[in-house]
Formats: sequence, C-alpha cells, structure tokens
Amino acid sequence: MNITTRMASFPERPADGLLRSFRGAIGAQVGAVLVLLFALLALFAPTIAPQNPYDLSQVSLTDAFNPPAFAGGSWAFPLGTDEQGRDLLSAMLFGARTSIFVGLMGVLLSAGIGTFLGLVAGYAGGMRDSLIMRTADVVQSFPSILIALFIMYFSEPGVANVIVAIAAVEWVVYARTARTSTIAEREKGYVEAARSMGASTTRVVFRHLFPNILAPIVVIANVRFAWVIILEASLSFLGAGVPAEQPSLGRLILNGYQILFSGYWWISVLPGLALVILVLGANLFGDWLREAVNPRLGR
Amino acid sequence: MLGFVLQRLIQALLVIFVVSIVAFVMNRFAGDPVFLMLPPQATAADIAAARHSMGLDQPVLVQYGLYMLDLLRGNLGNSWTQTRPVLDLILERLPATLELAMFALILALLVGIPAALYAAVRPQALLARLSMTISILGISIPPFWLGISFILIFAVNLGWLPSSGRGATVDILGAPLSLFTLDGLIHLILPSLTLSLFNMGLILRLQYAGMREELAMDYVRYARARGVPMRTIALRHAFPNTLMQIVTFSSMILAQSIAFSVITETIFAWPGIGKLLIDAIGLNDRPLVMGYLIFVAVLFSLLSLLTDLVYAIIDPRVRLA
Repeated sequence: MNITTRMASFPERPADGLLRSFRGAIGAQVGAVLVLLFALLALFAPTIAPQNPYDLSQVSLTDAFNPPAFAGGSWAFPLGTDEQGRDLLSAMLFGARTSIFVGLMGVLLSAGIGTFLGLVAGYAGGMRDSLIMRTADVVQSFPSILIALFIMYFSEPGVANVIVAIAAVEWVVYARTARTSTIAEREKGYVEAARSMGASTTRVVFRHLFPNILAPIVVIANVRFAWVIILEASLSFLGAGVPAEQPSLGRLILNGYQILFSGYWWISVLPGLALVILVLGANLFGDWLREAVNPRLGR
Repeated sequence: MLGFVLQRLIQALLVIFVVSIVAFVMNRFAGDPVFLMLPPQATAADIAAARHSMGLDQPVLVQYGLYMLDLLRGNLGNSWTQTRPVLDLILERLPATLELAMFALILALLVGIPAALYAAVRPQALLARLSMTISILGISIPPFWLGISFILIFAVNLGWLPSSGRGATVDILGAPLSLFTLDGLIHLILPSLTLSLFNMGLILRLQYAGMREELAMDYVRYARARGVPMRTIALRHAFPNTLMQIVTFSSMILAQSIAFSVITETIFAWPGIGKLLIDAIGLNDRPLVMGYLIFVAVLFSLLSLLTDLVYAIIDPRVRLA
C-alpha cells in the first residue's frame, strides 16, 4: 500500500469538502468576490471616496445635478452629483458602508438572540419552550416589513433602531433552527457524558451543545444577510429607516425618487444598481453554501 | 375535520388577541396621544378636557375593557385626519390592494411554476440553467427600486404606460376593480410586474427544490424502470405531491405582497391600504395606524385559516388526523 492510498483512507475533514465544492462553483466565487469587494469599499470609504459627502465644507450647491461622466458629465464627479451637489460616487461608498453595517449587525443580533432562545426552548422544553415558540408563531404570522415598519413608527429613525427592528423579526428563523438541532443533539452521548461529569446546565448548553448546532446557524445567517439588506433598504426608502444624515443605499434611492420626474435618473438608479449587485453577490454565495452544507436548510 | 378547523380558529383568535394587546399598550404608552392631537399652544384645561373626552383619565384596565368592547363591535375608532371611521377607510381601499396582490401572485405562479417544472426535469438544459440564474437575479432586486426603474423606462422615457393610479374601474360584486377595463388593465401592468418579479424568482427556486426532492424518490426510479416517460412522471406523479408546498408559499407570498403594497402603492400612487398606511404614518394619524395593524392581523389570520382549509381539502391525511 503506497502512501497516497493510505492518506485517502483517512476521513475527510468537512472543511476540505466544502473548499473543493467552492472551487467548482463559479456562481459562489463571483458572489464571494462581489461581497468582498463591497466590504472593502465600505470599510475604506472614508479614504477612497473623492469627498466626504456629509462635510458641508466640501460640498457646493453649484455642483448640483451634474450627470455621470459616461452620460456627458465631467470626470470630477464620475457618477454625477445629487440635488445638493454631493458627489454621488462618494455618497454611494458611504451608503454601502451603512447598508453593510446594518446588514451585518442585524444578522449578528438576530442570530444571537434567536440561537439563544432556540437553545433554551429546545433544551428546557415545557413552558419555556411553548412560550418562546408561540411568540415566534405570532411574529411569523406577520410579514417582516410590517412589524419592522410599526417598530420604526414608534421610535426615532436611527441606525441602532433599524438594527433592533430587524432583529425583532429575524430572530424567529434562527430560533426555529437552533431549537430543532438542539432537540436532536440533546439525546446524544456527549451531552449525557458532560452531565454525568457534573457540568452545569449553562455549561452543557453553551460549551457542548452550542458548537454542535452552529453549522446550520452560520448557513442561515449567510442566506438571510441578503434579505436583511433588502429589508433595511425598503424601510429607509419609506423614510422609516436610517436618518438622512447617515444614508444607506436605500435612503439614497429615496432622495433620487423624490425628484424622479425631473430627468435626474442617476440619483436613484445608480445607488439601486449598487444595491442589486451587493445583494446578488450575497445571494450567490449564500445559495451555494446552503446547497453545499445542507440543501434542506433555510428556505 | 371539525376539530381541526376549530383548533386553527382558536389559534387565529389568539394571534389577533395578542396583536390587540400590543397595539393597545403601544398606543397608550408610546407618547401621550393627547399631545399628538392638540396644538402646541393648548392650555392645561384643554388638555384635561381632551383627556376626559378620550377616556384617558380612567384607569388603564377600564380603558382596555372599553377598547376591547369597541374592537368586538368592529369599531376601530375615527381617523384624526379624515374624521371618518377607520374601518370604512380601510374597507374602501381594500379591493385595490387585494386586486394588485392577487394579480401579481397569479402572474408569478403562471411563470414560476412551469419554468420550475421544466428546470427540475432537465436541470442540465441551457434554458433551465438560464432561468435558475435569472431567478437569483430576481430575488436580488429590491421591489421598490425595480418600480422606480420601470417608471423611468416605461412611463418617463418611452411614455408607453401610466405610472400612477388605477385607471377606470368597474364594480364587480360591489368592489371596484381595474382588471376588467382596458384603461385599468394598462394601469395594473407596472405595479403588478414590480410586485411579482421578486416572487417569480422565489417561486421558481422553491418549486424547483421541491420537484428535485420529489424526483429523487424511489417511486420515480421504479416508474423510470418501467419505461414511463419522465414528462409523465413529473406531471402526473411528482407535481401533485408538491401541491401542498405550492399552497404554503402562495399564501405566504400573498401576505408578503399585501405587506409590500406599502412600497408598491406609494411608488405607483395606487389607492390601496398600503398607501393609506404610509400616508397615515406621515400625518401621525394614530387611530388609522393602529386600526390598520388590527385589520391586517385579522386579514392574515383569515388567510392562514383558509390555507389550512385548503390543506385539508388537498391532503386526506390532514383531514383525517
């Protein structure tokens, strides 16, 4: 027996299989590159943007309504300017920064809350289980945009409030998955072993159960990221999302929409195009990940 | 069967009850309604009088009792800005919203289901792979931006289609509908396309996944071995087994479409309940906003009850369980 066949007889680590599947999936690669590109642009927006669009000393009203360079404008403003003379490219870079930040924090917060509640429901069972899951039922009987819209109606526009509103509807998805996995894992040998060694409930749940239910949660977080960004954009477009001083891509589209019929199409179309490319990238990657890990998850 | 319906009915009532409590608590404790109603220069006596006339000087439990009594009588209060009963305002605009949402759903189903069946039977075909790729683009385009782009292209630049309103309507069974007049139909095109493109992608993907799962079953292999053509297996055997799933996501998408009408109706000035809500939020018309909340809770509960009934009709296992 030579060395390669002996190597092959070792079980493959799950990560290796995932990597191999990724190499064959062109869509996933395109998606990952797009999301990464947006993430980098957003992260370094303050350094790479031609101007700080929210520093009034850098913005001049006389520059307002410049068309993009490819549509007859000047290269001083590659993607044109908006109604206040802001460089649209800079506004979009900062907008993507807000969109991605809200998307990321929205997913993290809802995954955190949902996973915790799902673990509690699945492990404790009984009253706590029914209470958590019936609440999830009520939340889920309403379309997410309406709940988020009502929460924003009763609070001020603001980045933190939007994140909370998103988490208030999105936690349900994670709670259900975490609960199902917890119930399946609860009866396994390693949980009983930990308990018979005297580990406390908290320790069993968070040190032993939690790592074993993490994989599906990560997959769902990836799939939901794209949807959370659309949700935030929709709220901001309705004026019930991020404040005007810290616009996301959705809020920029709203600015353009308000002067839609005046012929300044680029102010709403270009931020929207950026939004579509970002969401498309996230969807391409999330879709592959779900198929590769567990096709039945998170539909 | 009766037990099943009864059980679902109780669940629906529970959801409505919870929503009514949430609405009451939010309305009562998130900002004093009196200050929303009165002008800033109101005197202390004005405030006390308003408080008394609105019943806000009574104990919270009494207020809650009166509020629930009103709800049970179908009284959602009067709009502050239009001084008419909230329920009338909502019912007046409901047909417009339902028409748009249903039309968009049917459009999405008519395209999504056949495309998914084809792609599931021939996953390697060029057309199948193309439609799966387009579907992922479909679920990546936020509906509101799509609507804006449609207006720019088809209304502003080409001038082919109107961008606002419902056009002419005719009364069908007492409800004014646009669908049956040419002018109305032309007005329906852009908003319904905006609403259905996202759902087309969603339906295509869900139905594709469901069919793939079904076609991987043993009975499909046996039927193949007997020489039954793939077409027949897919249409006669696998497809009926996915009907439950179609009912599930259709009802979910209908609810989503009614909710997303807040956006579509705002963009296209479609006079439905979504635009009513956004206008009410803009003017801070509290009773109208809260009335909408209660109303859609009832609407969505009815929808899910209806879905469960359809399950029972399609699948004897549900009916007999």
